[in-house]
Amino acid sequence: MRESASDRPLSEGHLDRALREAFARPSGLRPDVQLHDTSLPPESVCRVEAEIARGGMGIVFRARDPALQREVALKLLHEELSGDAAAVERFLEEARVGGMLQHPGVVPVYACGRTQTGRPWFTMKLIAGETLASLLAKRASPAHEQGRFLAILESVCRTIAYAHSRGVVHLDLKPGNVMVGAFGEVQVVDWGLAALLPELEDALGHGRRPGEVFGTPAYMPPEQARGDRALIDGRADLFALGAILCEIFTGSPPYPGGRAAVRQAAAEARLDEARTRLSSAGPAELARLCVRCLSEQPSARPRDATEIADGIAGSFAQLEARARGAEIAAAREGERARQERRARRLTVAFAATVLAVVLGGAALWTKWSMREDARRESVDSRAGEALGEAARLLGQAESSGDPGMYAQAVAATDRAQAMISTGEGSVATRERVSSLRERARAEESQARLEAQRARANAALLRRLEDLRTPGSEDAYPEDPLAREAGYAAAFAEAGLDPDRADAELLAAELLSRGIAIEVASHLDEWTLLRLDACLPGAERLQRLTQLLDPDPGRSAVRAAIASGSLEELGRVAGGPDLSRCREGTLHAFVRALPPSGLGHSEPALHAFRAAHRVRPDDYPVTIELARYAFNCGVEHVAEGEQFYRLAQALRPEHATAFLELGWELEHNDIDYAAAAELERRAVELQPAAGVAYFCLGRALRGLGDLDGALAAQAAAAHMMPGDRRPQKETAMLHRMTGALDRSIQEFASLLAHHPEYYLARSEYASALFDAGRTEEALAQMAQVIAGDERGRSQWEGVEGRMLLQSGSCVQAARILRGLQSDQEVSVLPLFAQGIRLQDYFDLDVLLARCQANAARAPANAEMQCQLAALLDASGRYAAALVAFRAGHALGMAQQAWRSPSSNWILVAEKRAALETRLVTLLAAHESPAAADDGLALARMASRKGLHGPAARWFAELFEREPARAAEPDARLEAACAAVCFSEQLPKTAQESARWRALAHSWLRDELERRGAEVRAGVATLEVSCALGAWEVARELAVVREADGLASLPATERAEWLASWSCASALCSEAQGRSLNSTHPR
Amino acid sequence: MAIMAPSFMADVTCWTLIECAAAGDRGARENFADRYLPLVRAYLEARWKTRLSRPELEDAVQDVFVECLKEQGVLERNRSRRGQGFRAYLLGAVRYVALRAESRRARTLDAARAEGLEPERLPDDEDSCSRVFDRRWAATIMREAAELQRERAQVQGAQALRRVELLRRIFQEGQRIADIAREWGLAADALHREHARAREEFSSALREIVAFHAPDSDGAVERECAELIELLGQS
Repeated sequence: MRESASDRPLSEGHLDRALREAFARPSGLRPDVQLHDTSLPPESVCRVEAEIARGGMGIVFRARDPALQREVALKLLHEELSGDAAAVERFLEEARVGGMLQHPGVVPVYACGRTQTGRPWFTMKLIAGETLASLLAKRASPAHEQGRFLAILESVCRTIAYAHSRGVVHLDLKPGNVMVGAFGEVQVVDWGLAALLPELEDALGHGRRPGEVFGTPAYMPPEQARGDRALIDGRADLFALGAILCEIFTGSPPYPGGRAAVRQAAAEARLDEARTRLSSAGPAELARLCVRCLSEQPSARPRDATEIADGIAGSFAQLEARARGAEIAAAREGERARQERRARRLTVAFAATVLAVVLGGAALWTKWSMREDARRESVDSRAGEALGEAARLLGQAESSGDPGMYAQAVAATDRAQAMISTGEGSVATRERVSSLRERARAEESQARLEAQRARANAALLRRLEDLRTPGSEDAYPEDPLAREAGYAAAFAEAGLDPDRADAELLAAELLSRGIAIEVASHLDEWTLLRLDACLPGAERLQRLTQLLDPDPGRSAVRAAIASGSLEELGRVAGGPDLSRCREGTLHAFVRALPPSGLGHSEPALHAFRAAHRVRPDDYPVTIELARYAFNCGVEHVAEGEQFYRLAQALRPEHATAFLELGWELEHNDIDYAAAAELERRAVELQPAAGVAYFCLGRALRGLGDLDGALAAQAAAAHMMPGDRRPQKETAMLHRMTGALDRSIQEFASLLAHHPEYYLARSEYASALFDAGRTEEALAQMAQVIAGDERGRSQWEGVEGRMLLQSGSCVQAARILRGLQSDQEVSVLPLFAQGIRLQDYFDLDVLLARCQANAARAPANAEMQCQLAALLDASGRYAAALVAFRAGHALGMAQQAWRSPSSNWILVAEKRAALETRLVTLLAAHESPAAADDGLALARMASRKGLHGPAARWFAELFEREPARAAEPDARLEAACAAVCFSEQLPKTAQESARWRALAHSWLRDELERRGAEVRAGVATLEVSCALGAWEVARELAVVREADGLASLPATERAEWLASWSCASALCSEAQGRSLNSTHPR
Repeated sequence: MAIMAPSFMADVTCWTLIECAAAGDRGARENFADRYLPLVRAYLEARWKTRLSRPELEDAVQDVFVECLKEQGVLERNRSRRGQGFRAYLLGAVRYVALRAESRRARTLDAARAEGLEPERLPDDEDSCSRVFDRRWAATIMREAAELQRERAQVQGAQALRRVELLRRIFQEGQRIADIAREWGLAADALHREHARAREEFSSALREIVAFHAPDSDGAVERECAELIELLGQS
């Protein structure tokens, strides 16, 4: 390492900045919101008295409604969740559902609102009673009081049937969420996970954290356990009802084991063991009904909850009868036992009488035995109460997943254990205590682990979500290295390493966490990032994705993305698989589409639209589609605008969609007024966005508000000091206002700093040309052409115009004729100058191009006038008149419109009328009358290729009115007509030679006249242009070019050559004089 | 991004790497591509945004490397400019290829909006693209320095690795030294000294990375470092 003594070490500030970058991770992480307020609803709503319960979402208090003097239950969202939009939404949804369902089986919601600090709450009826879970836990055996529990379940079914009829699905039915009141009233509680049926899949995603497996695994249908939201509907509740029925009959819900095992079993639909249990429990028909409810396929389950309720009611009578029979048998047995005991006591007493002296204590033993029975029953009862409490707490814990709640349940089992620790209590009670205690402990431990895992899941998914939209609405590719590091860091923080870990093990881990499909969606974006940026490891991610989400439809989409083949992408777009994709996969899909403008836009656009239909409210997809459509060409502009408007509606607070649409509308000359309005909106939303001011300035320029445009560009230049475009725009605006000196000064300053800014240099050249500084202008254009190979054609077009306008017609013709056929050239200045456009351009090609451009830019006045000029030059006068009128109307709406469009209209009207006269004359084989404008008619005939009539009319006119021959280009056009006519005649014919001679005489006369002008120093530029036109007039090629001259008689040929030499010399002389006298144009 | 081992860096410069790569050394070519390809790609993406297909972008990226390594390519033509540093050289190569691709596209495409590549039409212009490149360059250098520090620490042992972790916690996590000291059961004073040492190690690694890329800068390594760090502030 070579260091000089003069080198200073890095400053601390520098080093800090370097270290921040060196160890940086992507931005966009949202800080955890911590609220420490303890606000409650106002006392006017309710006065809080005591906490009743606490769950994962919120706290339930007993409160008093002061207005109605009644006790209510107040549910308040946990303060730490107040900043969590998903949690708030879910909480409020519970209140909405409770308010919506008016049924005796649903706890009514009275009111809802938010505290002053934004914490949501709602009040509902305060329920006194026990949960079904608690009651089930207390019963001695599954056969005990089955009728009662079936009646409860029937009531629950009827309630659920009502809820489904109102479009509400519960999704967390279980004994713990069924309250049984003191008078036997049954209510289904805790609608916190409920969702509305019509938009179920969206609702399941909305308001919930991605990847969250909601519900209680032990009662969960397979589709819910797998997180397959597309399949979840009301039949999930039917499964849960079947699970409760299973528990009523067999003592346990369908899936055995601890929490993790239960969830796994639920996801895998392991129901054989439950079916085996059911086969020997309960009435056969109810067992069959239960098995149907527990079908893995939703379609195999009962039709609705009413069917289950009716099934229960139908078997109820039979069950009652059997139970009655059992009770009678039990009563008989009890009586028999009592009789036996009595008999034993009598026997003992008799023996005691006999053996009173020996067995005096026998009566005492009996008495002790009875006291022991009573004590045991008392312990059983108290332990049973404790167990009931423990079961209730365990039920609450299962729904909330809160480890703290599990700890309370464990404590309750400990209390029950303490009660029986002295050895009292029945064996059955001891066994129940032991079993419940073991279960509570196991589940507490599992819950802690799961809570930790859930936090890790949420954190991981949040980090990945942030990478998707890292703090900016702009969907342009972000810094790929930073994103790559962000993905790696996000997984690393979750203890995962997709690049090093075994893919199968990692997939198993993510599957067990229940976030497999969401993670797979994010991996799609990461994979595409690696493919795009040529970073290693894309294949590893693809393999992991496949393991996480083997869904064949989504796999097909992924394969298409990886292939990059438009055919493949189009194929999946046309099928159902795309609709099964999550956000990340869709984003990867649209990014994989090839950009527009490559000749296959339609299929790609079709695929893009298909992606948008899957997620029509996805902002990145919407705005990308808008950009794409605009890039596809004029026929998709309306569609592009439509999607920009949609993007604006989706994110009205973001400036990008406003700014970009304004840019497109302005830059494509579609609607300057709308463009200005959009840019103003962008400025309001993002006041520091210099580019918005820049775009606004351009739109105002299009509207002709040059002062406003100047002010906007000044603001843009201030905000974007390093950006050269505002300065260029400012210079152009000065030119448009006629302040040429200021414009030239501004351009010179700009180009001093940006010498390769060729666009500006060409504008600078135009400003110089306007100021009459032709040589400087041409020199600038030469620099542009030499320096910017890419835009060579465009610049040569500008140069050609300048040369033409300055009289260098031959040079101009060489350049302009050499341009590519699709090159746009502004011909309006040439038309205004009366230059014969057909000599320099292929009019057919130029006209076709201009028509397309004019259609694409309906608001561009200049474009419309250009079209009109080309139509006029092509002899289509009626169409030219229409276009001139349109251009004039647009131009007059602009403040800075200077083109003489009103004059052009007058001329066009005259020509259109003249065309009618022309047709009449030709049909009658007549010549123009004295009252006709013979010169105009002759010119028109010539332009239409009617050279014979034209030549004759020119001759007759010049004979009759010699002065008219001196009008601009009159002799030239007459000569052209005559030469063309001569070419139509046989070459050997005398007439052919005669017409050529006439043409020659006209040109000689014109030479004489122009020579006098040049010598007098009059109109030198106009002379040079006029004579220059001779040298390029296509019609005169046969008498000017070597090929044509060679076929003429020698004498005639010499005469022509002499005349051409004279014209060329005169033209050069005139041009030289015009360049020396600079004056603004 | 692959980083060469310290021992290798002691013997070569970036120009040596390019020479070797141009001569066909496979390892050098892979290293060259690993190191600089993301930079090239970032510049081209910023320049063309989504208006170019991935295959076209890839072609252009490869073109840059071909241009750098071929006979009579940019490398040959810019031998005299080596004193200006590798960054300028690489940026020049990238721009050259980009302009060539745009010309080719403008000439061959028969689309109504072939001028979509007209710089005036893009919200960004050349200056912005160059700034993207420069900023990315600077960021890459910083990260390479951190990576080099980490690699050295792996050789030196746990203490050195801990110093790297200390820097990460401070500059990535935003933790305070006092809190870290408490967590690690160390005295704050001792940790401050470790911090100072970690900064020196990073600084040394940074100088070495910069020197690798500007071997002809004749000792103005610190100035180059400072300029690079200034670039980090621009966007």
